Amino acid sequence: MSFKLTAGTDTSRTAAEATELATYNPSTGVGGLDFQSLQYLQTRVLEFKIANTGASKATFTVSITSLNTDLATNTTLSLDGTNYSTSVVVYVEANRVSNVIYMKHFVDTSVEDTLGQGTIKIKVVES
Amino acid sequence: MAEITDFFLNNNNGLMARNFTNHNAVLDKDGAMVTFWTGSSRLHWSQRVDVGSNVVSKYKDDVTSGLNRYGSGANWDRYGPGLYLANLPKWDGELDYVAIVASDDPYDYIKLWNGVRNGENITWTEGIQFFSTADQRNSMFSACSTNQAIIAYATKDDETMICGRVNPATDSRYAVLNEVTYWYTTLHTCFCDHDGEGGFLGGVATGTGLPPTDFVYIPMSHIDSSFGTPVDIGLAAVLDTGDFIENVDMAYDSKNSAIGFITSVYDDSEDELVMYFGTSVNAGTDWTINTITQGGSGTFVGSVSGVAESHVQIMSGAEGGFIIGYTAENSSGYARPYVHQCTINGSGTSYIMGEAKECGQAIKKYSASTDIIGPVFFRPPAEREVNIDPIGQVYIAYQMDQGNDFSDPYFQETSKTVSVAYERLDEVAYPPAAAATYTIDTAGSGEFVVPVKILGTASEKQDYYDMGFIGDETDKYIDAFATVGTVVGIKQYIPRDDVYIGGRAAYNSPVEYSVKVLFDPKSWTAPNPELGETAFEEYINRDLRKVYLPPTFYMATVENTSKSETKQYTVWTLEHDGYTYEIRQVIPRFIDGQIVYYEANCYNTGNYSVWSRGGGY
Repeated sequence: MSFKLTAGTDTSRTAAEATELATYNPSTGVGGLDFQSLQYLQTRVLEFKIANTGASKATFTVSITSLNTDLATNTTLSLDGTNYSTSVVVYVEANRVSNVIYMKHFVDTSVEDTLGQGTIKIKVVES
Repeated sequence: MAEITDFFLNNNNGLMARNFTNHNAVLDKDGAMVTFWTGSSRLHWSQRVDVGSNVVSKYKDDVTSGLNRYGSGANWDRYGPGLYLANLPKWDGELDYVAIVASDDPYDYIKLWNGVRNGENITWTEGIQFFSTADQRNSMFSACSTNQAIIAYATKDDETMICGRVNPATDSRYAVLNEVTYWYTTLHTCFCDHDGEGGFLGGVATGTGLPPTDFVYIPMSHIDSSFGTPVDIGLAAVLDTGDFIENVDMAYDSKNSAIGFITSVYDDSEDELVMYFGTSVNAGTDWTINTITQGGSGTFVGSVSGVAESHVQIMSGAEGGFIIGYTAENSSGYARPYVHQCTINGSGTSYIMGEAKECGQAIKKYSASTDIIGPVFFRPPAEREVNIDPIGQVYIAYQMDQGNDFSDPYFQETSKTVSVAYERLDEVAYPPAAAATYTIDTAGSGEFVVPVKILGTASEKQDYYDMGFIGDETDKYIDAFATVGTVVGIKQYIPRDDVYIGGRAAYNSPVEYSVKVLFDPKSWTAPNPELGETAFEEYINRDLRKVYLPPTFYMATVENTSKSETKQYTVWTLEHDGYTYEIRQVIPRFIDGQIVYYEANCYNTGNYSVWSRGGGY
């Protein structure tokens, strides 16, 4: 894999300059992206970018997966912050950073009836 | 833990009659659970009232009511009188309960008794008698209530079923709705239930001697209250020669136009019962009969009654389905209540009977060899429906022990104290499932883990800062409080649970905080008092202050019940400018989902005692 995830607020022009988001640490609960606490019917949107650290232009397919089906079902992605879907495809030039990718989680009471700490995974496939 | 009320029953079948299905446990309009039973010629009752987390249980031996079977000093029939409890919610203030009592004695009658709740007591007055005494020769009876009337069924003679209706608020006597002649010898039982639309349905079991050749369902018209054509439900086809019916109950599932019944049948001999469950999903036209896989290890044969007893019960659910209950022996040979949940399939065309669940939490206070007779389901009043999903919230009552032997061959006169216990089905039968938890994903190649914490329903009694409802807006307000806030002293008084006395002594020494808060510049305008008079405004100014507290200062409250059963809450006080205020009506305020401050009213404690009020906000 020749990419790294960066914060949506990272203004680096090149992938080399961009700061990679910290990996989630279950013992400390700290990670680079965190939906934090959500109540029923609440929505929260996180932003991130994909930095292409490879030597050539690449296509990245971004999707959501998780062992927690309910959490994954209610997490969607968007390239414009308006139209959300289960996956997005971004094209990133070599050593460049993508536009912002929006990731939204909505706590749907019809699906999520479990309380507590869980996780979802952003899955990036390069093609 | 199941609650237990001890009483001197004088009636083995006072709570759980044999050959009748007593509907004598009611969830009344105030949410109290009231159980009625009969014994020693009188009506008894107990109630369980939830007041917050306090449970008040009362037992009443209604000696003075005179609610006898048919005369002072007379006793109830040895098999237990039929007893139906109705509660008519639309007549609040006029009539709280209607009890209908009867027995299978040839000369008994069916009579209404009107009970009016007066605090912890019920005052009973004798009401209308159903039918004439001469009609009651085989007065196996059943009753049901709509929101406007009490319906009673009985046999007029060996061949005729009679149905009467009374509106206790307006009628001076019963009205015979209809009669039907259908059977030829002894009526085993009859039963009915309202259909949720103000109408009602009737059913009857009968036979030309033994074994029964018919078990019919008789519908009742909504339009003119006439009996419809009896429908043979097909029970006889599944019975063997020598079988006969012991007990029946019925319920109407209005959400699905379905009717269910449960019956126990003597299988060749009087010491073995077989349970059958029937349903109709087209208003009684077609029926499906199935044998119930019974819980326990066999039929319960009462050592006092000397015969097999089932005490079957069925109750429908507001959203479809039924609960059934009966008595059977456990693996050690002692009587226990068993319940099954019966759910309807997705298309509403058939029912799925769940496995048997044993009840009887109260046995923990008794010897394991104590028999438990039951259950009786607590039913909502009149046409109201009970939600049986989740089934664990359903309450049942049952009787601990059988009493002892009869001193009279016909009437109840036992001399052994037995008890009535209350139990929720999630205590033993349907314990709550372990709380589900989410899994923490592990990142694989090309994957990035993102945590999310689902909190569920919001509550004002949550520390939102600690729970992560924070962000840039929260930081701004924290900075603002630090910059322009006024330092005040705040004290937290936590109530004690190890004292009998009230007042200040019921609280621990305070925990003290020094906090920067913001006062509303004109606090006394919010909440809005009647202003306009200078002296009054000045008084309010001193008395009431609006205050804002930083988002990091969550004021937790705990609730204690002292040894004197007084409920007390944590008291928070604020000291400022020589005054002491009590902090109340605390409301969290959010911006963009982030906690930014708490808003509260502060009342000058010089004018009232926060301790006698019990604190809390």
